[in-house]
Amino acid sequence: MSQEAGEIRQGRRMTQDRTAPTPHGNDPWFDAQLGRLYADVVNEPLPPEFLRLVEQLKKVTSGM
Amino acid sequence: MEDPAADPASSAIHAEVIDCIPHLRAFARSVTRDRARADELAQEAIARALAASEQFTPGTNFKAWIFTILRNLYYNEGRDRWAKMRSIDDPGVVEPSTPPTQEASLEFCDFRRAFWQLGHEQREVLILIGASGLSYEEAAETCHCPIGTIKSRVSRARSDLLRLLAGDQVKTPRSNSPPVSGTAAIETLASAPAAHANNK
Repeated sequence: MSQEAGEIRQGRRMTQDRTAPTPHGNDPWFDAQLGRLYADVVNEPLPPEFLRLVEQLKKVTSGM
Repeated sequence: MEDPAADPASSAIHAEVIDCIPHLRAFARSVTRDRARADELAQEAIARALAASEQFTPGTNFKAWIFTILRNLYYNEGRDRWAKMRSIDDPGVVEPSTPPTQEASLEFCDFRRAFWQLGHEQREVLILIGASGLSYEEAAETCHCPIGTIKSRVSRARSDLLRLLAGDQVKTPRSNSPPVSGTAAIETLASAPAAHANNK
């Protein structure tokens, strides 16, 4: 079963066309999802232990 | 602490570390699904990087360098230390940042579920190449393998993930609530699904 037929069978509507990936990947939808997966963590507020670490590193960097 | 005025290289490393922390957490999260353990892994990698800062070559990609440290920690010191038996219903496991109230968010939930069904080597190359911005050369150096291996691994991972999405072979059903629902599925990094064992 083709990928497109599988998607129709599942009744899933895609917000963007998804083409088959080339060896180097040429699928904007796929890349957007992957980027969001990564960005969701990058954009999280830093937990307290990391905030403390940042403050310590900044003190050293600023010479305080 | 050394006087940064007398050691500008050290000061530069500290600034690089500060900038890299969010990315390090994201990469750690891609290899170990447990949020707390991913942060522990990231903190350990930072400590190692600071202790070995003289080994970093200025002008090269600091993110790739510290990602390598994190990856080495994860694999060389035993995945058992960083992996843990966790149900995906466990609140410590990755959760969505926004509720899936729109079709696009529902698609993202599907994508995320399919992503977590991949083997850890596939997840890491997708993140290294597709999300964190490393080149194939940098990713190959980080993963200690040839560039060709990275390229084929990326290609295979993309294909496998799309096949998972097309076949709806996710462990938990999609719903309009955060994916912390339904049947509990136990997942560890050491035990990938049999259908994807050849991807590891």
